Amino acid sequence: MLSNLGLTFVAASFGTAVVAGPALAEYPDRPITMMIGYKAGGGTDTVGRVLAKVMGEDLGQQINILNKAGAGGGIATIKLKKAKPDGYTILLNPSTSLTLNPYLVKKLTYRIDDYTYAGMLTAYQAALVAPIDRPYNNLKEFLAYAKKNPGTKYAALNSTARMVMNVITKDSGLDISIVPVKGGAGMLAVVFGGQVDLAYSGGIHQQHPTKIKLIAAGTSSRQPLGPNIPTLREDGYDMSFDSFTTLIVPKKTPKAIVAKLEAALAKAAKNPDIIALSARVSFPMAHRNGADATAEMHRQWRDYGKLIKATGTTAK
Amino acid sequence: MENLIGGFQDILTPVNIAWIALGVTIGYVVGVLPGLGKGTAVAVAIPLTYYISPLAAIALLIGIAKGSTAGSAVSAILLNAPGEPSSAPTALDGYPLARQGKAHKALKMGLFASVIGDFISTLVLIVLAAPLAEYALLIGPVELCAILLFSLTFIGGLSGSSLSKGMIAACFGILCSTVGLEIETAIPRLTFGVLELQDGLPLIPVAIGMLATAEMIVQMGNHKSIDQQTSLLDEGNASREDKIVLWEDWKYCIPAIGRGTAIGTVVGILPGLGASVGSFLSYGATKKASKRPELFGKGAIEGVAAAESADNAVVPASLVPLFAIGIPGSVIAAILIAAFIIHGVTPGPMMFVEQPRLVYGIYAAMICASLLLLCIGYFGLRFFALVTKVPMRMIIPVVLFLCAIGAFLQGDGIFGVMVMLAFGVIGFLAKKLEFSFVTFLIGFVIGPSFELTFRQSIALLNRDITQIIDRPIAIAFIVLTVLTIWRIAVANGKKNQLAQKDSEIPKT
Repeated sequence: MLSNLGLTFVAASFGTAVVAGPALAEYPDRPITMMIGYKAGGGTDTVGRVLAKVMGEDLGQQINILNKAGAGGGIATIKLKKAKPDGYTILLNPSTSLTLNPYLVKKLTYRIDDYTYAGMLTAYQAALVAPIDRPYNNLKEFLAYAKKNPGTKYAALNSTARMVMNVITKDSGLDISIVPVKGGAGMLAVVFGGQVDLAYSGGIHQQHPTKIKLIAAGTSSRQPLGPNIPTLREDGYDMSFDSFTTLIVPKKTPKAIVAKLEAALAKAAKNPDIIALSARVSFPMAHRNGADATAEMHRQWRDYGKLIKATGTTAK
Repeated sequence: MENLIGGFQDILTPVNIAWIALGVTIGYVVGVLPGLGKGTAVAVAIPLTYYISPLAAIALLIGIAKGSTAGSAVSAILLNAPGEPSSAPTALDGYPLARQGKAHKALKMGLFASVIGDFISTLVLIVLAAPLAEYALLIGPVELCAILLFSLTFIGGLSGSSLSKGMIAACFGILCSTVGLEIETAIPRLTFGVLELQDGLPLIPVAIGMLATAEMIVQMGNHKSIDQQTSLLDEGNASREDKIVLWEDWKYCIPAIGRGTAIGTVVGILPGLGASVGSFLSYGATKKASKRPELFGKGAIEGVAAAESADNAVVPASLVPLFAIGIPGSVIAAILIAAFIIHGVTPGPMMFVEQPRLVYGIYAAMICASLLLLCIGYFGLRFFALVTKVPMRMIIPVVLFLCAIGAFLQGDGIFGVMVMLAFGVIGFLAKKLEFSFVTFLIGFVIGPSFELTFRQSIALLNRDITQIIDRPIAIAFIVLTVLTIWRIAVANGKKNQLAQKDSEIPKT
């Protein structure tokens, strides 16, 4: 009874349904690889492993972790660009690997728009910290101390940390020695040993509240472990270093698959294992869906761009 | 004390013992296979532990770490292709021993030394973790720099026949270690625009290439004569003396093991050094203290004992800063932090307050692991020793394949394999031209730590060397370094004097 046109129409819609259907109904039908841009054992890696377990259970397929450390998460990000956009290769990285590091390292030619974002999960808590026995409790008091004691020592674990100190001491005439340290563990070692008076931390200091105290919050809002410690912005410096663990996929990944990952991530954000982990490593929950995550990435890119320009830092 | 007994009660269930045994066995086999290392094994095993209890999970992972450190001696002794860089000194004397038909003896001593070093170090961890960790904090970057400087003097003793060749190799090792982003200003050094090199040359592919791959290439050239040698050994039907460890051997080895365990424990507690540094230092120290130094490199069993006891002592000792303070002292400890956190334990002093039962369960598990290591290793020996009977043309491809896998896993893909191949060629040339690859590795491993601590010292001493007066430990090691160099210079001077005298005596 259907006209020829009608029949064609019905056939065509069956055809598309048959082709498009499996892509949606069957994902995932084999294990997924989650890359992490840092070595096993670090903060990002720990969050990633628990997330992989929780999301894997939700999606019904195992998620395998692949650590691809190097260039501050950059190598993994570059690898993701070349990966097949079929949803079986995803990346968990701090947002700064895309919003800050490209300003600092010439070889990182990727940009935010080269990828699609399924969401953000936890917040890193960048901060300036000090050994607990020091006689100052916030940045103002520290600067007064540094004025009276030339040769005060500051531990910097990456270029961002150095940049912070350079900005703070610019035009101030303070004589602060910058001590290079390797990673969070190296920073903890010199702070515990009392070898330095101040240090930059990405968040690991929160696990040692009896030995380290917060001096300034490096994020745009105050931190849970130091509600009366001002942020760097409040102290008068136009800097903040927000970063979030972000779930990233290749740009051309089908929307349906991204939506599934987004949903699994949102569910994971309410999972008790994840919430307990977040409390244990003191990285507060900061869940955002894909659209909000993308907006946040662009906001960070703009803000870091302004900061880099203001400090005159150049890419190497 | 009751806590420890409670811990043992928790552990001594058949299920938990089975997990520990599984961990040690997996670790041992991974250690035996050249190329595969404990870092990969532990990281890969973490997801396998999600569905078992925290105690069993952590016991499994620590078992893997212990087992692989001991197992790496096997491939070092039998094939001259160490399973881990920390077993490189073991190969120096272990392989000659195997070529002399004393493979069983060497393997047994390697196992015994490993277990003793591991066991004593575990006891130190259990009893002394807290006070030791506090002392360890006194060793800041300045002191560490002095200690590393002193360690570099051991190059003198490990250079083999030619001191200058040894130093050239060490300097080349230090040069290779500078590749990567410079730590203070992030300026790339020697990266030639290759992004993967920004984090430096990865240790495991370099070590696999230099040690295992290069050795396989050398043996490829010699395989007919090696096979001939092996068949001769068999026909002689090895005497009982060559298969077991005699009291005579123990006489030399006991002091070596004691020294090695002490050195390994100290190196493990100090953050950032690693098992390779421990085994090199121990080998060098034992060679210096030995009454028969000329035998080293040709089959001195105490060399095997020294290297193996030290590298196994590092593993439990590196958990001291982790348990007592919460800072990882080694790559394995860092991976274990993730495992701890995933299973709901926050490493550090709070562990003892919040979950004492679990902590003592882990201690009990570690002691059980040491004992199981002895059983499993001993049992496996007779199988592994059979490898020497397999003709070289079958072994070499298998080993090369395993090396490639190991380099791929540890070097982030094909890049790691390329590094391995490059250093395989360099290692081959080094072996042919008799440059010591041991001193190269020392330079390569110690180089970055030495440079970092040196720069830290400059900042910490406020660019004023006189401030070092405040740091007696650092001064002590600097004095030791000067004394050691002076002694080496005097000894060399005497050697030259004797050589001169010899040439003056008219030859009749």
